[in-house]
Amino acid sequence: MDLSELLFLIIAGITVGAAISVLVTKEIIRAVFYLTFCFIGVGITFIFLNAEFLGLIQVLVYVGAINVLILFGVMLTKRRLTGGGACE
Amino acid sequence: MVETTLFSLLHGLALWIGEVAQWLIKVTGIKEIQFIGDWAVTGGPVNFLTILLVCAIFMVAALLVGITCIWQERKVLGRIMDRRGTQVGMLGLFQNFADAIKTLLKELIIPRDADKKLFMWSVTGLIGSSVLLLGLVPWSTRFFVANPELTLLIGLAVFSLAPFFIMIGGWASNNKYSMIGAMRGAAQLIAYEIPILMVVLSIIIMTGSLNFNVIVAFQQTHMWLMFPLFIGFITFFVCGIAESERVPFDLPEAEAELVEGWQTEYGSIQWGLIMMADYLRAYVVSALITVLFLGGWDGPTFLWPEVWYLIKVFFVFFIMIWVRSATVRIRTDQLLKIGWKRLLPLSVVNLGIAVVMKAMGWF
Repeated sequence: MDLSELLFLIIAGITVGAAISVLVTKEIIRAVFYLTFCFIGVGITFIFLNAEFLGLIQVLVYVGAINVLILFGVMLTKRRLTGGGACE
Repeated sequence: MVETTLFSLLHGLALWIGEVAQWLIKVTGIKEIQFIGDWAVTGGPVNFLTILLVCAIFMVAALLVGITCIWQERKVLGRIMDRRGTQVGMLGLFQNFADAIKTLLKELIIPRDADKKLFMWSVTGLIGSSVLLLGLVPWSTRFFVANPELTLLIGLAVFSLAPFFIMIGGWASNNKYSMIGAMRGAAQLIAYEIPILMVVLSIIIMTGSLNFNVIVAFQQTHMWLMFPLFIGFITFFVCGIAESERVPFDLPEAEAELVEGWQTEYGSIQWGLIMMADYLRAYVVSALITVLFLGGWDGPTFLWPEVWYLIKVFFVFFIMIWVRSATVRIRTDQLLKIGWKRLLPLSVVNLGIAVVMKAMGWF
């Protein structure tokens, strides 16, 4: 098998696995963390399709901005930290 | 004339060594091991080994420059505060290694209520993305790892990963101080990324390329971009200090209020690597300023271009230390006011100047 084909299969596997994990995980922050891997995997897939610019913009916008925005949204609405008692 | 790059030099060396090995194996006359000699001169293994060697050499050199920045900061801060600074070894040069050994020997403590997986993964991601930045900035046209067309964009994309990992790390520590520090850090990094992108856009308009080599070649034929884009240079410098979380903008780790910010719960080698990643990012910011505004490796030919590059990087870092020692930490409202009301309009003005200069045909 060609090396780039193997690499593509690995990346695609990571992307799909991360996407499934987003749906399965209970903890919402972990879901965001898996979503990052999904976005990065999609970006690398774009690079495999010879669309380097699109892939890099995917990482820049989705991981650098959208994900952090989701994190801000989640954290600012959450009332208590994990484990232990309620935290003011 | 084809210039001898690090890759072609090492490639030639590896081929030569392979041929010598092949000859030696032939001399022995043992038929069974001759396939090793044939393998040593084929293209695949030689290319692979050479790429690994180039990466290793560049990595070690860039890391050495990064830790020299730490040494420089300690010495210069010491002189400014009228003391001697670090003293371990010759001129204090071994202080970094002593610190590394100290942090390696400490116990790695993970808080009981922390989210263990994310606690480890976030710091891995932060350090990985910071170290990845090292390989992107070429030192000259012959000393580099890779030279893709979109180097600048790759650098900015990797740079923008940091706030995400900082927030995850602060959340996973399960500590309110870490949490507040992480919030501040992410807010600051996102706010100051916008002016940086605008200034970079003005440079792309001027030079018409995202490749560092082309940008520096443009500055060699015309002039250093800090003169026409002076406003952008100042904006980029201030934003760069904020992006590397150095003193006037070190709100994320304000010791007096937040213990150590988002990295409070990290100890041992994790803390050591986080600090190293901080300085590596500061080094990358000064390298970006050097390449984008100060002409990169441009300079009189009596010194190697790499030496000019390093001189400029250390000079920019020296000014960053100077700013650090001369200013105090600003408040959150001042931080946001400077970011959104001063630097963002300035970067837009800078973009307008670049567009006008390009449209008038002066460059």
